[in-house]
Amino acid sequence: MKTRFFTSLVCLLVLLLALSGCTPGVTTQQPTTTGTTSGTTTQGTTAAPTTTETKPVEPVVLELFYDSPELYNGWKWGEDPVTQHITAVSGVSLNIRYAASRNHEELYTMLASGSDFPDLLYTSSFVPALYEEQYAMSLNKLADEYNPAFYDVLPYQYQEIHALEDGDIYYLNNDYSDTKKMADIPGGSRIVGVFVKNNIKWEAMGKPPLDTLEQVREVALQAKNDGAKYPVFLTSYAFSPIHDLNSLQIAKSSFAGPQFVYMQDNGVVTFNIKSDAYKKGAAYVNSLYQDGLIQADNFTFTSGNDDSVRQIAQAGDPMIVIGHEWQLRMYRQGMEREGAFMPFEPPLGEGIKRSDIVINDFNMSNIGTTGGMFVMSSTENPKACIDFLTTLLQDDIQIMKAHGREDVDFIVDYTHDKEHGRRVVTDALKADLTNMQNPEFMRKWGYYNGILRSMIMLRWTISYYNRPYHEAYPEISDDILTTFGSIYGKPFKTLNLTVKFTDSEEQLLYNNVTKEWKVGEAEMILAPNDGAFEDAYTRTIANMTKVGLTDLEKLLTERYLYWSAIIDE
Amino acid sequence: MWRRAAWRQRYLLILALPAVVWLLVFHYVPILGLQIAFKDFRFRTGIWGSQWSGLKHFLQLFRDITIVNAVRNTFAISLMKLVLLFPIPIAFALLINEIRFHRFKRVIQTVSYFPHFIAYSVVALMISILLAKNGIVNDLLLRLGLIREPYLFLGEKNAFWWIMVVTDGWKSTGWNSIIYIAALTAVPLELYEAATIDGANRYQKILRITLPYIKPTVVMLLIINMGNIVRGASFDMSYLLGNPLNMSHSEILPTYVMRTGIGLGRFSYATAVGIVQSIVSMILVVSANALSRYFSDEGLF
Repeated sequence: MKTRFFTSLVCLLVLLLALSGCTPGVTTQQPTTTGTTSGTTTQGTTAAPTTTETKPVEPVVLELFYDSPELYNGWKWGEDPVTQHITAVSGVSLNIRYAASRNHEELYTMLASGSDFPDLLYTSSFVPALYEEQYAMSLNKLADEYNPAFYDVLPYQYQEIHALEDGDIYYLNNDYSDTKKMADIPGGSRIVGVFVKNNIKWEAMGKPPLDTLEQVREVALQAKNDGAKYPVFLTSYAFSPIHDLNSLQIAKSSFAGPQFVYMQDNGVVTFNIKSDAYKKGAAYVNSLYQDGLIQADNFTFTSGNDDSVRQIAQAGDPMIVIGHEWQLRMYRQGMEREGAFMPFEPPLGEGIKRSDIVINDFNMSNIGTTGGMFVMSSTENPKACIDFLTTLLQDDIQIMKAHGREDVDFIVDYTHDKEHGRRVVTDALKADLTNMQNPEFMRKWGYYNGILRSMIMLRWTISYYNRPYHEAYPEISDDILTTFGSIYGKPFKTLNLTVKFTDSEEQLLYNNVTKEWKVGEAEMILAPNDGAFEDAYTRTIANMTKVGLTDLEKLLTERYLYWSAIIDE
Repeated sequence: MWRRAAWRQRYLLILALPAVVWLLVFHYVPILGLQIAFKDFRFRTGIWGSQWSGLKHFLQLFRDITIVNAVRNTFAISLMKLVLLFPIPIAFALLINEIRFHRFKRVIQTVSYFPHFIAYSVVALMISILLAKNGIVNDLLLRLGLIREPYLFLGEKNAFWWIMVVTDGWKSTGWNSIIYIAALTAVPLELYEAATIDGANRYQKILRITLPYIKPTVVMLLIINMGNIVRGASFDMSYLLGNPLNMSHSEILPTYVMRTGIGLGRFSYATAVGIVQSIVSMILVVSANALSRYFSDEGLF
């Protein structure tokens, strides 16, 4: 009898447990309640004058769902000087909840369940359900009701570009280029994706010339003979063929290729993979592989795991990098001094003159078309949300998010640019940048915080006074800097906007085409001989066409004509 | 009368109750949600409030040429697993059964189960380390002189299916042999004694006694595995080991659904793919069962 009773009890307990459901599998971080600090918020000499006012504000904690995995394990809002300052001026602290994966299933599950909504949501993806089904609030309505100052800081033409069918904006994109402010930036905009050299090895070699692609190859071969395992390193942007920092997009520039991934000729938009310069750039990178200079394991990178690329970066002793050297620095943090890897002027392809080259200006031509920061309809603090977003858009906060505090994180150096000056990181920060690991570095300096930057980072601030590693150009004279400036193309916002989708079918078409490009690019670079390269190139375009390249280009052309009539370029 | 029987077995019924409730709540009630495959599902209006769209998503599915690769890869990997891996647990069980030293037998059995409990994400990481160009597998092959330079296993699309099959074989052999070992213990010892008296050797005993005795178990599991052909390939392995170099051979139906359905919020489309998968599985199971009954009188139902 007793046995039967306990058996029944156990069964009932099991039943209750089975029906109790699961708790959400996301990591949640509470903000730290530290005392606020007053960071310096002085402006540069030519910066736009919007500043935050320090006034008594009601403290409030808002919940933000960040639709991507946690990048910096252990960092919390309020632990570093920048977020402390933002809290001091806005009164808002963030309790950040991260998604466990990049597949958005938690976001969609949240929408489907209709519960557990945050106050703010950040997603970089195209999620039309957020505004089509009124999960997100109109920022215009919030601003009209609670904070009209929002319109004073809203970037130029943002309303025209990102307003939906009802005329309102629902999100603040984190990749916006405000061309009015870009025109004022001191020192000009800076290229991001380039060829990069190992400066230490280069000096040891006697500073051989790197003016042409063939000279770059010779230097890499010499490094290989000297014992470097993988002399040429491709950053993980090798897996995003449409990205400005993609190795083949960079290589095509050396053959005077079109500035942008999408090119337009008489209003007809096509992808630049069809250009002669792209093919020559791809052939060059393939020839580096055929010479044994590029490691094939570079391409076993997957969407959730860049360990193979990290291992190559750390073990490979790179001499030349085709891509964005910050990523190499991130992988090799602490392994060498700051400034060990430095970009150099684009090497010339055969028959190309320097004046033929147009570099893709990453900071000016990028506009960001999908996703951003949303205010959820279910929030109980709509005023706090719009106040917070308005604060984030202030120029001084933008500069602080990108660069830190003047005289603490950076100083303005007028040595090379006597009119505007150039931002230089302080020695103390530089020392920690080389020796400290994230997130300890981020907690101390609030600098280069990728999560913070993704919360509405306007592009002009990234160029503002230039980025720190570009300031380490001791051997480059002002004359050459002028040359640098002359090879920049104009911003191509209109072309970027052609991929601003209106429904998920368009996004799917785009994804299918670019997926074939991604696969084909890997085959092109790793082709064992020239014949195989030709086959890979032809096959890539054929496969892209098979899955809808023609339809996609037609769609982009229609969009180009539409946006051309609206955008002030 | 049934009430009396139920009362007599009340404790057994209570024991079974949690499983039945779990089955109903998590497997039968969600069937109602399949209707979204015939609707344009909207989060706000939910399953019941969304507009009907008929066969729109199914037509989209059949017109999508990018699914062809995923279907090919799914069937190829599953059929390879069925043909190559299905007999292995049976053979393993037979070998285990022949071990006379019981303690050793138990150790082997237990050790063979361990891989089953390792998560696929950990297995994928292990594979990526082992098969790297500077990994232990390449090192071994180079030292044995079988290859002249390191082989990029994970970059070679033709190798991907084999990697999936071998990994799954390593992971599941021990676990899948459990049911065969259990079936083998039911074979009457007198049959083996009689066979010994008749002069049968070990091989003949396996062929004439052991295998026929476990035939119903084998047939049952084979029919069940036929139903898994459409979903048998491991999502985790394909998702974690798929990269640009092997993508043409690594994308399977579950990863396709993740990429084109769930990842873009196209829940109706994803459900339509799931329904088609289930229908195909059902056809395969029923056909396999019918064929089995026709040829051998054995069947699942």
